[in-house]
Amino acid sequence: MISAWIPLAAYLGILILVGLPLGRFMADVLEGRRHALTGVLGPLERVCLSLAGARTDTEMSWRGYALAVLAFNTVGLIVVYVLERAQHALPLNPQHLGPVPPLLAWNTAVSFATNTNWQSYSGEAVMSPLTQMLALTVQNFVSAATGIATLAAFIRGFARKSSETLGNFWVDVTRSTVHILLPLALLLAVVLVSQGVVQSFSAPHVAPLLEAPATTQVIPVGPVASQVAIKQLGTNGGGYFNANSAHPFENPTPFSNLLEVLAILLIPAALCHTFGRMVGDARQGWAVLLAILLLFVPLVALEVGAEQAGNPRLAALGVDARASLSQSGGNMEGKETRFGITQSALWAAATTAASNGSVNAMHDSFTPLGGLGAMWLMQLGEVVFGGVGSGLYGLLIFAIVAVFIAGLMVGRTPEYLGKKIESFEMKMASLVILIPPLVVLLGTALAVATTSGRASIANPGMHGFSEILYAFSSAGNNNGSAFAGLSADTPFYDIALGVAMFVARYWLIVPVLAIAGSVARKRTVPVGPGTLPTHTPLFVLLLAGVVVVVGALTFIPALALGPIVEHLQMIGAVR
Amino acid sequence: MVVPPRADTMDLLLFLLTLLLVAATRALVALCDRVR
Repeated sequence: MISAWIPLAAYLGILILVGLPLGRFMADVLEGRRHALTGVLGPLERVCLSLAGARTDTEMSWRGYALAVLAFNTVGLIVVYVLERAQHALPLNPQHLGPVPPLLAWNTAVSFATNTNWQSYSGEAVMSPLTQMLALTVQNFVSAATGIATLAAFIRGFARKSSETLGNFWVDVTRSTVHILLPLALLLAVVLVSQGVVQSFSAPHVAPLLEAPATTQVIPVGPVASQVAIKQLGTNGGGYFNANSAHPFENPTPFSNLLEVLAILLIPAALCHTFGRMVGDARQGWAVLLAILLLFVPLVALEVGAEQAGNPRLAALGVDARASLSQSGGNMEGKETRFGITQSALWAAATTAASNGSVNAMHDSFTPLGGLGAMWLMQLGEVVFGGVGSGLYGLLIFAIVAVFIAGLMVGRTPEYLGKKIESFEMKMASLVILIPPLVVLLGTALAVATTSGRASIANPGMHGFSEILYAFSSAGNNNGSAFAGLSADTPFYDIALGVAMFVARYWLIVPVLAIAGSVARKRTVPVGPGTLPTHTPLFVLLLAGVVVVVGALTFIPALALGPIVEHLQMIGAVR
Repeated sequence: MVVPPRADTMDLLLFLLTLLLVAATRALVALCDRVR
């Protein structure tokens, strides 16, 4: 186990070290200050805004900002849909792929516009390189930029005093794309290419095989590195290939694996420091980062521990599943031997903690507790790191609930960052916290109650229930990873999961921005003896506790029907 | 036997579904504005 903790500690150490300067850089970008790359990227930003014809001289109210987010993403969704449906008539289609079927195209369009990247298709067999680039990769950038922009507006709500406006969405989304995502993705893509990740417009290679009946194998290639880089950095997760980051063309070496798993959490971790800097108190950023780590580390330990322990039933049959110099031991089903247990389990925790959803191992083959850990990280609301921007604004909503609870305990009006938290903020916070569980649990209930929902289950019984619960947890929290056993490209799941993804994204952004608009109008209350400090270990514990209690109370009953009973059955406690 | 709709009909239906979801989100914006 010690051999597992050393890379995990190194991983977290690098994440924190790199995150700090990146966080400060992003604060400079979002506040319009000059930085080292302004000379190069500033003109590009101005050209993009000018070409789009965006008005940049005025700021927006929360309502204007929310409507701009919605309009921008709706147009993006429709463009993706049209490109998918028309790909047979467009260039860069060396495999001569036909149009994507309507329901699948719609599900994918919603999925990529909402930063979920749920994939009910096999990328290399359904999407042309043009569709992958122009539709999917573009959305990887702009959906992530939408998250960063929304977070920036939310933070400004607390940082400003007596203000009616939150910033300009067009400026924020362009700056996030041009100054933050584009250079990082370019750098990562080039390094990934050096490791062997494919970047090509060639037609598929045809390799001769040694044994009949098949005599040839078609090996598709494409502009993979450019998509993989942003899919990790933007917490998107949608792979070029069906096998995602388990595919050697997406993630060929242990070093590419380290870079990619770092990229998954890099921006969400760094945004904590951006938050601290923008509100003028770096300690606030450290406090939310510590609360995140307090939740993340035990769940990584659960993942690694459960997968290394493996399945006792196999041991009973005489299978040697102990770790040794010659094998990883544990549960290696569905995992790549070049990554082993620790790197697969760490990835599973990182990808579900962030709303990334890319995989380097098949989660459906994890042990019941390993699957539970991944599922629960999503069900907590994607606030343990979470999506780029969306994770932090989600966690800050929990921070508002935490100060409200503390205020109730001591009988004082709750405050957060000097702003009074009143009834309107709590109503909006309740919406943000309640909508995702409602979507997940109602969707799961509908699926298990209908023939169309049950027809897609590959494994009957509690594991089949877990597959459905996982799918709706993923869509209802904009994660995008899947328990691969569920056949999700059916009319029922294409529509149900599509609606879940849409609601989970935009019905949360609206109340989040409404809170920002409300607190921006307020004056700052000076710190007094009754003020609860929100940078102390006590508040870190309170915040983590609120997230766990809400997540536990909401989802433990459902988890008990799936992974928990499956685990008890595996260890022989129930039959 | 259920006959699936033609592709162009599906395109239209899915466009309407998208508009419905967008309209519902706009209504949520208006609702949040009014609650204040």
